[in-house]
Amino acid sequence: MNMAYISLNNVNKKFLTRRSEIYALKNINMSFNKGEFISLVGPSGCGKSTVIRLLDDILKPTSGEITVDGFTYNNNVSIPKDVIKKMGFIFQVPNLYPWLTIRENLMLPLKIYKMKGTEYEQYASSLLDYVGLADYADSYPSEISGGMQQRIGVIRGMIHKPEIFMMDEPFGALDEDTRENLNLELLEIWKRTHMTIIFITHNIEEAVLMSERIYVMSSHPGMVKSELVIDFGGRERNLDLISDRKFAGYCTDIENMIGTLRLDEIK
Amino acid sequence: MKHNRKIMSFLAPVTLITIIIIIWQAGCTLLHVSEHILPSPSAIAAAFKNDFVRSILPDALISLRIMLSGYLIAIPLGFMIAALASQSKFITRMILPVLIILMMIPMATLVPELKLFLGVKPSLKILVIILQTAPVIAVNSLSGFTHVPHNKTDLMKGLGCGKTETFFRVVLPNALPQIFTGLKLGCILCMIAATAADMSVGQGGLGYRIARSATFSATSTAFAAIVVAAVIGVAFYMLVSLVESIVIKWKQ
Amino acid sequence: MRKNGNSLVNFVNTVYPPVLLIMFLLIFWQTVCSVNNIQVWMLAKPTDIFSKFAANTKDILPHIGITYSNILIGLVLAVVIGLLIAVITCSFPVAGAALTPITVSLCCIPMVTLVPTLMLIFGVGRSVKLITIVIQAFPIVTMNAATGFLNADPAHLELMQSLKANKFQQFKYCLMMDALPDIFTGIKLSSIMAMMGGITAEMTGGNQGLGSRISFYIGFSKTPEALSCIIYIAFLGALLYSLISLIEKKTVRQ
Repeated sequence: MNMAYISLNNVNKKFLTRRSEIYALKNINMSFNKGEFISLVGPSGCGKSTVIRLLDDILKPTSGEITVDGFTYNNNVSIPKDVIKKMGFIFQVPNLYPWLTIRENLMLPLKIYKMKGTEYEQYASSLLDYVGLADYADSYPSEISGGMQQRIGVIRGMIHKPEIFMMDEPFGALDEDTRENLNLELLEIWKRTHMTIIFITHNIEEAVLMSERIYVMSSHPGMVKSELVIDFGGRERNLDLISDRKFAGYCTDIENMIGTLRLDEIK
Repeated sequence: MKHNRKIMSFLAPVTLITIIIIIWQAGCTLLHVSEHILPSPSAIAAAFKNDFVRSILPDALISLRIMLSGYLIAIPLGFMIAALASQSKFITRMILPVLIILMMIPMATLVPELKLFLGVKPSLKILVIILQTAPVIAVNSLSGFTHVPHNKTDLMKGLGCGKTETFFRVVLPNALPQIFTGLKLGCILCMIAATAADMSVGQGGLGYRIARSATFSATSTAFAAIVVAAVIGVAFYMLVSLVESIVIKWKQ
Repeated sequence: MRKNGNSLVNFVNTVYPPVLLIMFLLIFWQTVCSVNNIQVWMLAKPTDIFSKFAANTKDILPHIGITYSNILIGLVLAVVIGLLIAVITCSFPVAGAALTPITVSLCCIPMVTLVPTLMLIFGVGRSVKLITIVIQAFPIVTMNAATGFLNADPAHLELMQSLKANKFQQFKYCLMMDALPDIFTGIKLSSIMAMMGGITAEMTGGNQGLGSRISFYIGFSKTPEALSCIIYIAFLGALLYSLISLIEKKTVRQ
């Protein structure tokens, strides 16, 4: 059997509130192959963010286990540090530290992982050049716009050259144009680095544009409702794709799925 | 879980203090420390029994009366100064540095001069306490009044509200945390100023009792008075903190 | 950093209003004393103080040095100890539960009450003043620092968690910086306590420092000299507060 690069096996996550237990995630089974671009879509509250935090070991599963590159971790076992170094994590908000310059913010993960050397400093400079923010390297986050901050957030997630890139609605707070530009930049980065990218979004078009596979999730409790393969027959993924008939078809399918999910919830 | 934490937050300090008292007592007894230099807890307890009603209690009441008089006058005084100054940027810029300098000066330094000028009276101590406490309350209240988020004051302007109404509806509630910082700090400084003034001026009060007992090497009595001063100081602070939590809760 | 216009103009605009007020108060003081013919020994006029200021400064120079150095050293020690205790209190819950009530109580106790006893044990030298200052001042640093550490931005902490930073790294790169505004508030407030503790201790015993000089001069009815001591104390207070504010501006970025 082909062992997936990353997999969640029978993962459940319960949260205890003052009055009751809430199932954030129930019976989650997902797998991701190396170098794939996969999105998780679903209504808000379906546990997409929780999945990423379980993968990153910020949260522990109530039951079930997670395997990354052969290492398994669960409620009792923590993720080993060398596996963590293979992962990069992008938040919904840029989350830059206001007291550090842009360059210092960018290099922060290297300090935590104790990765030193001129090769990383050169990589940082090239990343700044790539997103067009080299002139702002010595500025502070308060001096640049939200879109620019989020670009820095994205390259900060990559500074330690991870193999796995996990992104939690990274472009949700941005305007349409900036988001489209960043989507294309991300696809470029993916082509160059061959990272495994797990992308969370509530924007269906964004997901269809970029992903090879999409997991559609339902909420209350969070479960995997279905899995879709997005196949454009090897066509280049760029903005022209949006006019493709298949594109609209995929979007409608997913919208219907989420639509039915919502009807299910009402019942 | 919460239950355990509450028990621990009570037991932990009580245990620590008990251990300290035991070590203190043991140290004094075993090392034969003279009672005149460092009295043991048992000596202090004995001094309590002997001197409390006779000398410590009347002095404590004098101190309490002076402190409360000074504090209760300083509050409206400091508050008024801050409220009026906050109405004008120019006046704020003019008065704030002066208030800060007044805040930093230990007013006990004025006692010798005031003794010459006013003579030795209880009102001298009260004046010192007011001079010490009012600037602290004024500085913190002024800081609170002048740091209201602009969107809130702009909203009031947009609704056509005058300065007075804006002050009471928006500025004052927003400034409450800072005002209470001033009040709490003020009550600590009030206590210190009262005790220092007692020591300089005499005429009763806990500071006077402590200084006088130390002169006669009645160190146990001095320490008993120190304990009473500590209890009063802590109780005063707790009272102001309690008022703060009630007011803040009511505001929400 | 935004610079509104010329920084020299800004400086003048900030400085002239309080200077105006102080001049006004001095003139008022001078007038009231002159008009009512108040004797010098009772309340000195500004002109009396000013005429004797230079000569007097030479006399009290060693005392100025002692008071200024005591309070500065005491404050630095209090800040270091206060921060250490805050770190301990926040890192170890049991220690925190035990130490917090004691710390809060310590700041409410007038340390000047212990000065007579401390002088019996330690003599009337510098150590008594330093002990008084440190014990009076450190609790406020601890209380404000603890508030800062406990109210750190959770989003900032989540970044640390996602990088699996250890406790020391979390403190160094995130907690400490998030808590800086509160820590500086604590340092400003505790500088008031340091002044109180140091100078009242000088007034209570021993004959070193500006505090002791005040009673000394009044005893000889040398009021202008006594008041010039108070001016030097006021200057120290202003200096301390400005210094702390300056360091705060340079280090805190939020």
